[in-house]
Amino acid sequence: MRTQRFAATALGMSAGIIVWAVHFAAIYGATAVACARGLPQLVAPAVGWSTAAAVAALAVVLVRGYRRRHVFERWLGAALAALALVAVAWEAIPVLVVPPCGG
Amino acid sequence: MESVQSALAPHGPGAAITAEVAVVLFVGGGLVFLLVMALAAWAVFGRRRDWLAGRAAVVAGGIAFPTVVLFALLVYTLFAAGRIADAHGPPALRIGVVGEQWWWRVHYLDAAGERDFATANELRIPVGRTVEVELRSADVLHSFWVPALAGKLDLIPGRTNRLRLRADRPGVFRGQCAEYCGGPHAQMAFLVVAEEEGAFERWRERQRAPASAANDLFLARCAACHTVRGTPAAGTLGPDLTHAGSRLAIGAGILPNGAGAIAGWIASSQRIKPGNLMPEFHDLDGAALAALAEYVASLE
Amino acid sequence: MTTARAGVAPLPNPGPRPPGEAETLARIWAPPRGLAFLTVVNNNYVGVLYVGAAFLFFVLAGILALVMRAQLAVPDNTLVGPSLYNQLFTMHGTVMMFLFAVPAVEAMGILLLPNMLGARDLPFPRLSAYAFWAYFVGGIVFFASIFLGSAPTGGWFMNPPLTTATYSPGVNEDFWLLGIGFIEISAIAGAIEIVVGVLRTRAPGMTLGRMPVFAWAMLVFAAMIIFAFPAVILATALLELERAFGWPFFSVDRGGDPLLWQHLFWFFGHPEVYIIFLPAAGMVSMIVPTMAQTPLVAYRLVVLALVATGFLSFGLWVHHMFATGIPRLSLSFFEAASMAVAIPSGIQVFAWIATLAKGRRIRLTTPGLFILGFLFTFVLGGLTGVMVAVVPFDWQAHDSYFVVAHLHYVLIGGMVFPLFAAFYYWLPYTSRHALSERLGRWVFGLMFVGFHVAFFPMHFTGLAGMPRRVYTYPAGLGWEGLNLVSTAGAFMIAAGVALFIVDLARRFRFAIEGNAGNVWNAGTLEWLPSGTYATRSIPSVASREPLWDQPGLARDVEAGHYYLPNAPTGGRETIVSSPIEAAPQWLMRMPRPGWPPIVAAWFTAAFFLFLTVKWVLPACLCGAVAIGAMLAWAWRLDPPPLAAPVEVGGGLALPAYMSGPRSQSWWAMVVLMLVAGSVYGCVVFSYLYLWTVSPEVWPAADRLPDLVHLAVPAALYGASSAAIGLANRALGRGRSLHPGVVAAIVLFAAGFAADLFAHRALSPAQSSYGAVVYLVLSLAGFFGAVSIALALFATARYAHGLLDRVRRVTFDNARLFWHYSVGQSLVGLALVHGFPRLAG
Repeated sequence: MRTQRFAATALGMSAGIIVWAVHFAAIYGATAVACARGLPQLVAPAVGWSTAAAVAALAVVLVRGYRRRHVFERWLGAALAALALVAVAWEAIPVLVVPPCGG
Repeated sequence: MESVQSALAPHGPGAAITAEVAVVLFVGGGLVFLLVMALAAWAVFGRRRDWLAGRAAVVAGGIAFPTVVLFALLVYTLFAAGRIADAHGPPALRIGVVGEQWWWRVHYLDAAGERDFATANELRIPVGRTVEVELRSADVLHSFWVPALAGKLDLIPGRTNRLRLRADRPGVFRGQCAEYCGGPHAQMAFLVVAEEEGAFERWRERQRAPASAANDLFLARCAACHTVRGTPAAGTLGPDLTHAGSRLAIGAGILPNGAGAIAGWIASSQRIKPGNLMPEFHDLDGAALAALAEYVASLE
Repeated sequence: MTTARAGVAPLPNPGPRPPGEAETLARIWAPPRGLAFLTVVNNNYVGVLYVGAAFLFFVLAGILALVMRAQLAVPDNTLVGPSLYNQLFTMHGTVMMFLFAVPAVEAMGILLLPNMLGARDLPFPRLSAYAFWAYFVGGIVFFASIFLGSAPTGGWFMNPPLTTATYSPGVNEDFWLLGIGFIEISAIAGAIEIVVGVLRTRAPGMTLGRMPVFAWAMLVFAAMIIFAFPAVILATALLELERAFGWPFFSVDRGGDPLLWQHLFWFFGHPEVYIIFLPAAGMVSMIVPTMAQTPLVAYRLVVLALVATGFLSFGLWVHHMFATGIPRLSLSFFEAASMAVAIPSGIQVFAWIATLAKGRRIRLTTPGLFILGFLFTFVLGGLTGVMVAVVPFDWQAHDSYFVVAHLHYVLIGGMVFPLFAAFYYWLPYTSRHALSERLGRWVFGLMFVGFHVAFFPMHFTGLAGMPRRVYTYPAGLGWEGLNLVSTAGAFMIAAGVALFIVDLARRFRFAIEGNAGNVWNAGTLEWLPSGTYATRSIPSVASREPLWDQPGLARDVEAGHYYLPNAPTGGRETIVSSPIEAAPQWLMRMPRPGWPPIVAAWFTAAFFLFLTVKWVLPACLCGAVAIGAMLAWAWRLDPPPLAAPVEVGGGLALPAYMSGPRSQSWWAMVVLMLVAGSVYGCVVFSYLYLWTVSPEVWPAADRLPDLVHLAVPAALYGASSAAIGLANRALGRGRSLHPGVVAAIVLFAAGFAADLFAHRALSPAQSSYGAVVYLVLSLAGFFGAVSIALALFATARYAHGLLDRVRRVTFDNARLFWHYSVGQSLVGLALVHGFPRLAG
């Protein structure tokens, strides 16, 4: 049914950028709660594992999207996933340089 | 009095490293701006434009170029922020600041972390030593900003924020509240005076000492809100005046100190700083006002 | 007779149209006369009224800025004292952001989208009318508060504790909450219209990949409103609850936190500026190809940029809070995201440059000048945006005039200049005459030069140490000259705007049929000859610029050779199509003008106004009238189905009634549930945030109510959903609705009572824990009450024979909303009873 296909298409198209959103919420939330509760040692693992999971998920989205890239909606989904990959990578870099709960 | 309130006139590492970052940002941003404008101008007015007229130009200029430049900028600035933190190191002096509408309550801490003495609206610090300012608020949001020395940090009820700064040269540095706090927010300023170690120690000793004298009119009219240590005046609603005469400014950094200014402030502070929480004292006659002002000015 | 044309599909209605058909169409769509003109619902009229109102607020807020700049022209000035100045800058920001910027771009969408998409009107014309009048009346009353000295003084972002009752005891800040309430209503209504309009009422053949970029931009705009506005809706509700009833969300002494406000407000506030910018970028993407007389280069990348910006902008909000003492690592995540969002903007800028390069000689008409001015200004503003995204630099620039410079560069550069380009570009679409090119150059020159004279120095003023929101400054710090120059620039901008107003008064004569026409030789559908009914027939398209690629399109559309050249049901109609392929699905009958929406809007405004000044009895009376008008309006919804499908041409016969997932009202309800869900997401965030910062006021697991207090309400709520399901089945079988609906109401009410009973020992004013639990309970109750009202309404229609097995849209709305309310209440139960046990 056309309407249900729309919902599925819209979600499929946004899958990559939704992965970005979940990753961002996870790293920010984990850092905030860990620092508020005096557990700085949890920050780096939380960010590390979230990032690994996000990159893996994005790789899946990219490969599947690349195969049907001649269809507009599929191309858009793959392109969003590629941009999401850049954003996820950039957002993870600070954990390598900045101390977890310091000022 | 001469004072510096510019982020582009850094006198300490916090402001200096930031100024270096600012230069990188301005030069880099300026170059990118000129490049993009040149391309736009070429697109409209130029002769051979085909190389600019396709998807490849969009990918190169709109994706590849920003990605590379912004990534480099991200790494550089993450390290720069780290250098600011590292440049300060453990503090040699700790000062507590509580933001009030519309002035700064200050108390110095001794080596054991206990309260040493109280003052208001002016911080004196030794040159070349890291100072940590503990920031709290008694009422609403404020922000402590002395641009010549460091970036700003907010004063938030329920939280203690800590700002490290250091002056590498002597001078008078003006700061201002940088988080809108209602009313005369524009007139909630303060001074940071950096002095050589010896001068600073002498100042600190004098601040610790009680006031030189008491005054009956002061005790009758002002003691409800103001403290003068060594006299019965012990009010805490307003600034501690024990050594008010030694400060460079009054009214929270807005008027140069002196008996005349103090007299004007007592009589009509609402006209100078509308909405501030000190009432005006119209009923004092000229002589009483002058005497009171002389007394406060004498509290060095 | 079908005329065969090589390689092109035959026209749907190739023969000549019967005489009188066009006149009938015009008569059906004619606006009402006399005073009843106010009841107009057609987007051609509502759109112009909306744009006009937004422009009025722009001018009013601009005048406030001129007073501010006059005060700041010299140090220690006494023109305006702090009390008035604080009202001026608060109103300037609030009116510009909430009463001008978002409504202006929304209004351009309302005005342009139907014609651009090939529809006769928006899907919910009375909702647009309601949203406009509520916004206009509410906005005017809100602005008038400054003349009474009651204007808010907390800044446009209203940070507590300054804005709590303790530090702002008067009614001023409550006026702000009033003003915002109207915008929240209009924005949500607009989002519903635009999502459904863009996705479901496109011309046959206009697939998503052929949709004008402005339609994509407005779709992203609407989606962003759905997820961003709820945060400010919740924040303003919490602030009002604290001010009026003492629920301590933001007060530290009882477990609240001022930073909760900042998180909620800026989670809205950052997407808000992209909500304002993206439609402007969409308009630029329509104007540049016309200037260059060539299609937009890299259309797909531009669409990618719009969608990506929409999503990424939700990850930036803490960059407004870099000075609050949040740990540097957390801040760095937001610095990284703020840099990432610059990439999509870069894509758009280069796509425009490439398109300009592709064109032949570009004639620099006034729209073109404003576009170039936009490029220059917005790029500069975007670069200073990257600067303030850098944490250590922002520690100096934050809350200084540097940010004032940045924000005006991106908002005036990125939205006002494109808006003026759009005014000059699209005026011929809605007026008999275009504006004057000669005066237009002067308007542009004054505005552009004036803008840079006013705002460029502020970059230096800020770094020289001048903070924001200051009513005066001392001499001797080097700020005098910079401020004087800025003031001069501000008055130059005003001169440009004044000249524009003069030209507008001279040349703008509203016209639809007699409009100036396609003077720019643009390629998109809004430039087809049109009347109040939009185009005589609804075209089918095969490309992105149909007017360029289908010669004779205008002639054939006007002659009625495409779809729906008439009004087969005797009323206003448009074609509803599938969301991706734009294949025609059914024929939607649309309402005519009427008094209920405008009466409802005026009395809604009055209700909120009286509540603000705490005159409770007049408020209740006005609220009752508003609800009565809404009931009268709703009673006329859902017209009776027609038995047979309707011919629209090309052998296509479409049903003239639709219920279920293909109906526009189902989609509207889904959008509404997404909004409600977003609000609830913010509630869950607020709960978790307060738990994180104030664990001392949270109960230990053994102090919580017993688990029976989770099980019983959950079972009752769930059973009420089942009962509605039973009523649904009964309706499908032609049996009575009453038992199921009555059971559902009783069960939900019982569940809510049990839910409340569990917390009878808790007081919402005592701690932030109590406040947030009562917030969850209040929402369960509020949504339950609305669900019950919708169900009773559907039952009343059923009892009057206006609802049955086929004609059932109002019951479906009630059913959807009921299940949502139950789901939301169950989540609330799990949160309140489950989370402390898990975490504790």
